[in-house]
Amino acid sequence: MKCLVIFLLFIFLNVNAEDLDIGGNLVLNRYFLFKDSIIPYPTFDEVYTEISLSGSNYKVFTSFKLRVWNRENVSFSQLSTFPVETYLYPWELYVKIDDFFIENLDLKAGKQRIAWGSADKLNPTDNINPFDMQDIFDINKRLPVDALKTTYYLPFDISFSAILSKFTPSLFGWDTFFIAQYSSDSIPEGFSLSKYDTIIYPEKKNFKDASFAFKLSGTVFNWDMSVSYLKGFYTFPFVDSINIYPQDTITPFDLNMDTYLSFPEYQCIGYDFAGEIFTIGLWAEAAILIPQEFTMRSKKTLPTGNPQMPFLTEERDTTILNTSYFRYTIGSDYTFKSNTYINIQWNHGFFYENSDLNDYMFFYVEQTFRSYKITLKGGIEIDDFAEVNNSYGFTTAFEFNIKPYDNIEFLSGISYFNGKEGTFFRRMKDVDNIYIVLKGYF
Amino acid sequence: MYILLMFLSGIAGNTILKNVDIAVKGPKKAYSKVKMVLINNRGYKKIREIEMWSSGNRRLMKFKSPKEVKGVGFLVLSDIEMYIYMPAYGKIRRIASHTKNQSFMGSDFSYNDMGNINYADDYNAKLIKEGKTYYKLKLIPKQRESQYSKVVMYVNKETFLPDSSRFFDKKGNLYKIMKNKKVKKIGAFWIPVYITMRNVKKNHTTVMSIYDIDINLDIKNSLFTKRQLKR
Repeated sequence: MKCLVIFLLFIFLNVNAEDLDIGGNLVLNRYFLFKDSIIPYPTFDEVYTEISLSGSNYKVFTSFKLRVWNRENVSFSQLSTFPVETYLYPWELYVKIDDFFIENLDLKAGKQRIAWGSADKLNPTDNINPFDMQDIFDINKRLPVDALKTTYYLPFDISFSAILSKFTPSLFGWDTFFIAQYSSDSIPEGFSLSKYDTIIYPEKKNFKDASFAFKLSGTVFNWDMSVSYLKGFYTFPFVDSINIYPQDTITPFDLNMDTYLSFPEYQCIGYDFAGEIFTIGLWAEAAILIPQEFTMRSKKTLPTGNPQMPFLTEERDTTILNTSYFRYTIGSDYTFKSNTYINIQWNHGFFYENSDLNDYMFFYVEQTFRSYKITLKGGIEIDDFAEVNNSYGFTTAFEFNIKPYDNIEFLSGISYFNGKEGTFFRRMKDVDNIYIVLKGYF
Repeated sequence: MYILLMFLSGIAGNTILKNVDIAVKGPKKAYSKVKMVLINNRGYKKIREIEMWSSGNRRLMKFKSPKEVKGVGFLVLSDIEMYIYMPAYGKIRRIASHTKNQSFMGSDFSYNDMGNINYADDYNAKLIKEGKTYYKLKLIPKQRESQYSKVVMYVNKETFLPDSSRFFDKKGNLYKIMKNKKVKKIGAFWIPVYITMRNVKKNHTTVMSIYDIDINLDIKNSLFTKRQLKR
């Protein structure tokens, strides 16, 4: 990576100013929660800058994100948890060479986004890049990853890509979201995970932390389709082992918990297609995820109150992953003559679910006028079809978006979550909000 | 006699319309730059700049400005095979043909206007009047899904390009007026280089200028691929 940075710097410093293209955007946002939350939900403003240099058969690209955290949704007592206010992230950083040594072979090396899947959003086959979870209001963001990507183009727009990428965990803003939404089932009641827990990363030696993927894409009878394979690691950590023990012998009922987290391996076989029937857009995407067996080891040492045997230790192994599972998405879109755009997508399995997959239906209705548009979007969750009345959740948002001038965009909206206890959308109830976002492009 | 005249005017109208298609399609292969000025009812202007390559029915467009859409690409391979590339998502997305009637980049032109216009396939034409320099045609859409109820077109006798077209909505009200205000002869082809489209209902106008036209450029078929759309 360091070599690549030096190489890029060398290139940027040795080109004519007119060969360079610099641009970016600024996003300022404020989310006003309806009520005070126990969990803090800080958000951030962002400045994104990209610099690129393009030639006839190459492109050198680098981009940065500067995130300035806002604390409007953090209570006074929580402020000390957020000592750092600004982060600068090197985002993408790659060199792309077309017709690399042989015709129709493209090479892209460096930190990059490799977006797979033909579904509009929430793509089950899009697994190379980890999630960027810092923006809890947009769960579709991804983190670029160090990778070497080669693509060979055959006639009739058929292409074959092979990718070797380095393991990168998902980026979490504040571990609270992770704790609340992801791993709460794995840890004993009364305890919680924290950012100070030990995380075991995949071994780096001999490319043991590398992921390998390939994809074959093409168009058959006017339908775009692709098959893909990935062997990699989950980018959300799983609880590997827990050790609960008394703090000391003087206060044996005050317990400590040491937690170790790790990233299990898995394989993914994906298939997707997109096309249209009677002018209506249609897409589907499916992935079979085959995890390596993963067991959580827990050890509890608890005081008994018996001086003869003051502590009792219990050890247990719990299988977290051992069977393959199937995630899929099917969606459709249409534009009516009145310029009303409607997009509906059904998802089986959410991005963090790996057993007991739930069903979600997302919709998006947009009415565009000349310089503004109004959008109604939302989602319905069903956790158990046998008991829909007790297992549904929903979210809805109404948004107004206006572009008064070129390169300036203003949007404002209201988001609402609700549902039955235990559903994902119900757990998001704390973040019912009104939001204002200002975007500027330069 | 009246029926015979109607029949003959239909044959004449459709023949003229086929010639219009040939003239509108222009050279088989071409490169050009397009500047669109969008003018709203208060006179405020927005500018869009596009680079465009075409070969037969295929088109590749790359947006150059404004900054918010810079790098966005649009590829038309046929009436039912269109793709958009959004650099922010790093992803090519297939767009179904329901988008054809949507406004192109907020302008008064639709995606269909910017893609493959094939009047003879989409309309039945009747010759209403023949002037000294023009034919006046009345076009009735063949498909019920069309956003227009009829189009009245004035075809230039010399170039076979429409000098102006009046588009009427489903209720029969005047909806849009398109004018080819300037044409230029490049090689053997007459090419419209200054087109206005006015939305009468919204009092909004788009002025499209086409420049740097090159019809001798070696445009290869491999340009109209998803690989090039992403470049």
